[in-house]
Amino acid sequence: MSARYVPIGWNTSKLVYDAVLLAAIVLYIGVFLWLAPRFQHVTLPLDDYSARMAAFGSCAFLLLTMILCIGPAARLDPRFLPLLYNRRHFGVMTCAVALTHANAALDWYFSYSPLDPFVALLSGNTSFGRAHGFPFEVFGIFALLVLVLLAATSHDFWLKFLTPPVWKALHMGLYAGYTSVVLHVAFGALQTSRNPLLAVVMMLCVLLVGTLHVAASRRPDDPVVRPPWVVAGTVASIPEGRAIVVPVSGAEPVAIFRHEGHLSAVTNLCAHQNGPLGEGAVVDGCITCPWHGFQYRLADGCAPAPYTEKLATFRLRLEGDTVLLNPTPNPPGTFVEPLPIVMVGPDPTNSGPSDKGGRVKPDHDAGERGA
Amino acid sequence: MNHDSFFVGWRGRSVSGFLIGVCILAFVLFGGLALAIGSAVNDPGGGDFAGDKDLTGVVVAEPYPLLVLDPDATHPNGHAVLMSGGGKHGVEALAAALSGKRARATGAGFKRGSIDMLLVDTIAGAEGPTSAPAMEPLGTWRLTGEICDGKCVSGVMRPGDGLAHKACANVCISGGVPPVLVTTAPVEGAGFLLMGDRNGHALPDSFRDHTGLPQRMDGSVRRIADVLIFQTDVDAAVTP
Repeated sequence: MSARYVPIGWNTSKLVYDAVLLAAIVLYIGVFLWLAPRFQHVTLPLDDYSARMAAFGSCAFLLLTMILCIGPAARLDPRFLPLLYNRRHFGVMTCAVALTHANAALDWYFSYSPLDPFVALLSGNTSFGRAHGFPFEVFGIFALLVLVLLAATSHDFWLKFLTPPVWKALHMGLYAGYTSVVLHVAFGALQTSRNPLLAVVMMLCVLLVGTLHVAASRRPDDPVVRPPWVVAGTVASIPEGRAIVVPVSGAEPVAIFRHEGHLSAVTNLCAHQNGPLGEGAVVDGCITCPWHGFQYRLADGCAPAPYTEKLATFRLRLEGDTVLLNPTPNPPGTFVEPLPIVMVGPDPTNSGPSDKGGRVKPDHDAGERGA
Repeated sequence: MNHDSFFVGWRGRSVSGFLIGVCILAFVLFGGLALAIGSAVNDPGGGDFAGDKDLTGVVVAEPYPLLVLDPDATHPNGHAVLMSGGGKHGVEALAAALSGKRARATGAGFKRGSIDMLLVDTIAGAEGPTSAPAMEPLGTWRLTGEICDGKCVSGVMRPGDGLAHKACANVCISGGVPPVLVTTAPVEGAGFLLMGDRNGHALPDSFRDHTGLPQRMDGSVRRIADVLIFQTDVDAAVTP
């Protein structure tokens, strides 16, 4: 978290993340362009531009597949969460790889003609009435525009400017971009390839993305409840330092945290990127988002100073072991006294409320704002 | 709770063994896929640069520019070389001005099988005998093949055919590069035929819907020197 924007804020995790990603891309391109030709059964090798198009195009498709797998994988197994942390850099690098592919195609197929390369690109194939021979380039153009738009708006400035709901909705456009990439390959390279490998790889990728999303969406949820006071669950169902997520009919879910013998409720949506706070944890006395580590105090949903993000808070009460929630949100930042858990018998975790949520490491002053 | 199990990016914690394993697996998978996909490419053929050329012969302007070299022991009826300009440009205007005349042309040569392509750098009238190239009608044919631009398919690009190359072929042919039909089976010993419309002129713009795909067409074939010319109604082409 930070109170100012910098072009890119680095920390160790991001550096390691980016270095590994860059190494993977270099490995892929290197193997494709320098090692694989030794195993090709061809009269003469592909020309440099065509080889580059194939290498960077297939690389971008695989990277995009991985990006779409990270979200549901992290939801199914929190050990994948570190991969989600710097996903924006993943997207920006994927965009750069896709642009290299597009640039090679533009330079090779559409330059050196009497037409402007972009005019040639848009007018080169106009067989829109045919399935076989359909201008697959339009799918690639659309996907590239999506990737560029998402990369260009990946910085937190745009998140703040557009507001998290709009920003998140915009970035859901990645699914349209991925669909378009699949069509680009299906109507282009797959129509020409005499080897079924590319088709098999593409189908497996699409299957993987679809399966992970379906599996992640089928996680058992608590029953839907209705206002005003509703049953949210039992105290025992909330692990210490973690939360349960309560779906609310017609509204965003609510996350109820348990910390040091007290319960607090805030909206499940992080003020940063609408990340799932209920899948986060209490770290240093603060609710901590699993996506980028944004923190909020339990009692009032405010980010510790100097940060300014605020969450809507909710009222809770206990009836025996049952937690009741008033699903009407308080204005963001409203103080609500954490609800003490009245236990029968000694409870070593019940040591009083905490409002010490200001212990944020100084090294992330700008670190969480980087695009 | 055990905070070590909860990742917070700005804490700079070292990654878990699980993630190291995931990364190693991803690297192996990435490298393996690059090797597999990169080695499974189609054979783009053997078209390649054939050296700088300095040729003299008789210019045939239609349907697309040809330079017919004088007969020799290997080519008793003469040898026809397709001509194109630099980039995706043709040399129709230059060829039209020299049609039926003797000319000297220089440029880069490309060759794939029986296709000889000259990317004309300079072309000008030349002294010497001007005799009309031998022409022989070969009757009506039904041919199946792919319409390609003669420049890319002769080795300027590898691959220079297929659907992925369709738009490039359209831009090339529209720019004046001679189109050729690469047939699925040899015709009179040739694997490609220079294309023209029914009247022996350049193809109409509607050719664009038929490039890069297997197409079946009816038309007449004639031979000029050692090159076959397929005159057809490209609008009547069908997917076999």
